[in-house]
Amino acid sequence: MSATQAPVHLPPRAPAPPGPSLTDRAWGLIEAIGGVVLLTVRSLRCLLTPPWLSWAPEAVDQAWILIKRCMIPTAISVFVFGYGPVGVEGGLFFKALGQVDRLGSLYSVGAVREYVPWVTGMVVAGVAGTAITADLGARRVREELDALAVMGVDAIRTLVAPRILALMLVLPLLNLVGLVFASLAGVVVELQDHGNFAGYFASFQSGFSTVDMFANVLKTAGFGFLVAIVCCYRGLNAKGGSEGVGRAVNVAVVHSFAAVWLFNFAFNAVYLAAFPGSLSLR
Amino acid sequence: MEASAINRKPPAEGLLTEAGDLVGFAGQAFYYAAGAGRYFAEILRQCGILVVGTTLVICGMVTVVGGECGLFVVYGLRPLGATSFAGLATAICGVREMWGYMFAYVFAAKVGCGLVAEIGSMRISEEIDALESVGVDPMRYVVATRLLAVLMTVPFMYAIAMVFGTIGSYLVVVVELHGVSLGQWIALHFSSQTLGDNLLSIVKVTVIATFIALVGMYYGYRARGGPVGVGAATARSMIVNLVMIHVVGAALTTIFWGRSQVPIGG
Repeated sequence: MSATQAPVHLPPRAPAPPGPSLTDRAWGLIEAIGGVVLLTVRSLRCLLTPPWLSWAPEAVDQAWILIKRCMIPTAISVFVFGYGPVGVEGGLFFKALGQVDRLGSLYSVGAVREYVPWVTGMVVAGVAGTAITADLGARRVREELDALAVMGVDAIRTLVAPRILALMLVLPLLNLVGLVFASLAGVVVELQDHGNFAGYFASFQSGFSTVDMFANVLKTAGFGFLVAIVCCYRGLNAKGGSEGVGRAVNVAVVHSFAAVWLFNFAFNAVYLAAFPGSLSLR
Repeated sequence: MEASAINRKPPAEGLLTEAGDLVGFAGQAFYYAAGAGRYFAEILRQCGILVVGTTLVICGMVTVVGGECGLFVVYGLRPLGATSFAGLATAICGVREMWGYMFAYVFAAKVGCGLVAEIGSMRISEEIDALESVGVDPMRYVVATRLLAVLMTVPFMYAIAMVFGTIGSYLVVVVELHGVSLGQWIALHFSSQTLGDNLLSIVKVTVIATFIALVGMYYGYRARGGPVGVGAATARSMIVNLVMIHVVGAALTTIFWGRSQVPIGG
């Protein structure tokens, strides 16, 4: 169409239906929190009561699917984040002090403590969490979940509990792979700033602490739990209609991002206060 | 989990086709944006939706990440006995990097996914075909207006979010951890950033937000396969968005600040 077309006169828009009021939205939020807690309790009960290991095959399948989906996005994201914001910006301080060969300590502290866990958490929430919500939401709108209930199959035992376990297992593993890519990004920055490798690896090793590593794994397992429970809840409660599943995915990803960041902040505040020595640049 | 409704070719070929299609769609969106001024009321309505629906959650999350910067900086500098320099690092951590990343994450989740769900449902319920049949070009009326609304809204929204990020850093560094006195923190925090830093940060975030909006509208516009297809497209847009955020963010950081100096020493 040409840009000189005459303006098109649209018919008047029908008045929008009144949206939910503020009270309704507040109640909705309380209901969602209650639903998430209830889902957590129910899936824990499924994991801790017989028949034992009924969730194991599905959990392994899910873990493998998650690894296939998330590995490449996580590696790319962690690498470029380690290169740009951490390497280039953080390297400025080290360059100003003439200590480029100590850059490794920034990676062993900053990567393990801060950015690899939450970059991995963001990517897994965005890639795997959305996929889980889309999958469960599709089953809800196609009434597959109702069919399962009719057949006497507990959807929480067969669908939700394995996904929670799989994410809690896979997120720490992906995070460890991410750490390798973060260190590679550090090597690239080191080369670019004309530092030397020996200094980089020496300061990397001396800055690295076991406590950090345990905290890192614990934190990412927590991320996995939060992402899985929020996304499963939204998927199970997807509404019908043409927009239903897409809107459920949208809400799920917003809420899981918020949950990951609030947990990250609370965890770091407690952990750093409990082990203040672990952040020194040795 | 089922395969995406969009991509059914062999992986590499499908990926390249999709990337080319996405770039073509983005070019078309900018081309049609030139003639979208006739729908100015619709542009303003989209701006209103963005502002009302997104500003609050973005400001909240940027406050959290400002606090995270403060936490890391204070505990990082404390063993060196240099806590009084906390303001220097919160400025660089926040203004140049983290507020922008956080803005982008929340924007991708709230607005990017929202666009896929909204335009995707318009596509599968054949509203877009209906627009075409009455002679309204959907690329102009649906896509270009939303693109212009994002370009008009994001710089201001991010400027407000930056204020909240500063408040978050202040709350953690000064109020919670008592790392440094208020005067010293303010002096260093604001003397370590220039107007240029702030403007470049706004430019960076606007570029990333434009990418996010284009990706979201592309996956919505090309959605098919019923409500389930819209859900799958929403999930897929998030993969592209998250990788794009990090790649574009790191590239712009390197271009804007790769050769800059930190304001210490001579």
